[in-house]
Amino acid sequence: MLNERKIRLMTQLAIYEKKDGREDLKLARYYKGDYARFQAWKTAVAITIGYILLLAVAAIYKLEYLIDNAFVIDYPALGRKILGIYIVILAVYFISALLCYSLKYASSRKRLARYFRMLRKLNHIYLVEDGVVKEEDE
Amino acid sequence: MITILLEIREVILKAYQKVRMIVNPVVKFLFSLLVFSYINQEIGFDPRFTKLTVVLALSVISAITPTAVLVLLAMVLILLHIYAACNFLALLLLLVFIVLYVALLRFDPKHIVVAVAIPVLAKYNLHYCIPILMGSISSPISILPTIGGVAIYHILDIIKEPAAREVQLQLDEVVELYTEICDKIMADKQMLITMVVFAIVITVVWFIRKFSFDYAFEISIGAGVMVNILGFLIADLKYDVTVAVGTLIIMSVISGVIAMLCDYMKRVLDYTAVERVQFEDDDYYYYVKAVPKVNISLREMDVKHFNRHSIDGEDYEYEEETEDEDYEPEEPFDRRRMEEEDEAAPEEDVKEYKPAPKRSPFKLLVKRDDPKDEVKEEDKKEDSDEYEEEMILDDDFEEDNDKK
Repeated sequence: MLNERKIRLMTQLAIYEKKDGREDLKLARYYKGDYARFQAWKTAVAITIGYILLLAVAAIYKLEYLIDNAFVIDYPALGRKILGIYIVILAVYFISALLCYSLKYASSRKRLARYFRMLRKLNHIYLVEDGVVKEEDE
Repeated sequence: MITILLEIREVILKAYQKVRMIVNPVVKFLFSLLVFSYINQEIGFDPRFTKLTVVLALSVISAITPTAVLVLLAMVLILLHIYAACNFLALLLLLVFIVLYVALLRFDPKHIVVAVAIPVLAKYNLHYCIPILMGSISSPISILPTIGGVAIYHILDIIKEPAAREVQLQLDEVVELYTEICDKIMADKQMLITMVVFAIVITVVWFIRKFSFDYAFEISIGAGVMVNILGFLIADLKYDVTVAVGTLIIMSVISGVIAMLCDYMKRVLDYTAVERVQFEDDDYYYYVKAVPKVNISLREMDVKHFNRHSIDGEDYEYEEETEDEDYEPEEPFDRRRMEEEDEAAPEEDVKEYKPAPKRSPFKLLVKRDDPKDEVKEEDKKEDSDEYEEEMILDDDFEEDNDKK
């Protein structure tokens, strides 16, 4: 015989697993700090690649100047400037990524808590069906 | 008025529930068609990709795939057109697109579509609605794809003229052409100002929307429109950027209305999402179609009691107001009884009765990010309590919690 309460719970669980749950359950494999740091490092790598490409674009833009002044350019000063800008951009992105991914992780834990609560209710229904516990024990 | 709106809402919900599976892809198809047509119109250098069949095929693919695919196809189409005009320029544009992706677009993949929506809407001066809408449905992180969209619009606008002029150049000429384009981009104050104003609009709308006072959502939209207008006017005065003031004001207001309608429809339609899920237990396979209950809003009657005594200390006097002129109370008006009731609670001078909001059984899963929903505020409080409880009862979570 069909248990309506069980179907309702299982439907809610399936909907969650189909939508937010897919992402949340991936996040659940990490600790909060690990997840935020991992994402921040991924951001740092992406920003580094982006910065290098941007430098390439800028170098082509200033190609004529670079060729004309190849022997008079103060390369150490130029390198320090490029590195300084890179560090500032990287720091901003890294800290922002840490904060944003921490918040994302926290919100996913809240949804997961609800998911586990429903799982526990479902488990209780199974225990009642098997006669292990009585219904009023919930 | 509210009752009529609710009834309209109910009709929309019921109609949408029936045709949702068709409407969503059709809307995506139409939007994709608009995007690819815009690209072909602006930089259609390669006639092979301007054919209707190609545009339709790309639109169909975009309609049945996630929105990120639409953005990717739009980028590829832009690159192919530029490649047909000048291959070296296409390579440089590819580098620019990669930089835009890693620095701006990848952080909010959910709203990446605004990167192509802004250039398309900018043609009709309706791009002002994007930051207002982003502020009301998203978080400040959506600033990144929004300014990415502004960058794409201005780069395309700048690049189309030189790319059309020069075809298959020598390397030195290409560098010269590239320098000319970069000079124009660097000198384009309008792009920078648009980015800054849009970022401020998103932040202001998001910030005001977060408050819990009455009409916070409507006020946030109004504030977004005002900031948008003022931002561009200040830029016009201070940075010598040409802004058509009349167009700016009219289109900002229209954009505000569009953003409000889009946001309203998004909330309403998300709420009605019919879910089809499959699962099994030991005895059965279940194929479930979960249809959220739609609130049935009948014409409600508001009864207001005004007590003059509690206001100015004079004799009691009662007025009974109804929205429905044909309404007749079941019991005759009993002034003495009303006076006695009123003496029992003299501090209440105005009473307004409203029906309690009904709850959908799937609301918790289908629509969670509505800060204005009172019911959901309760749920959030429940969440915080349940969270602690869950950490203790679930083994994995308990271990996890301890380590943290």
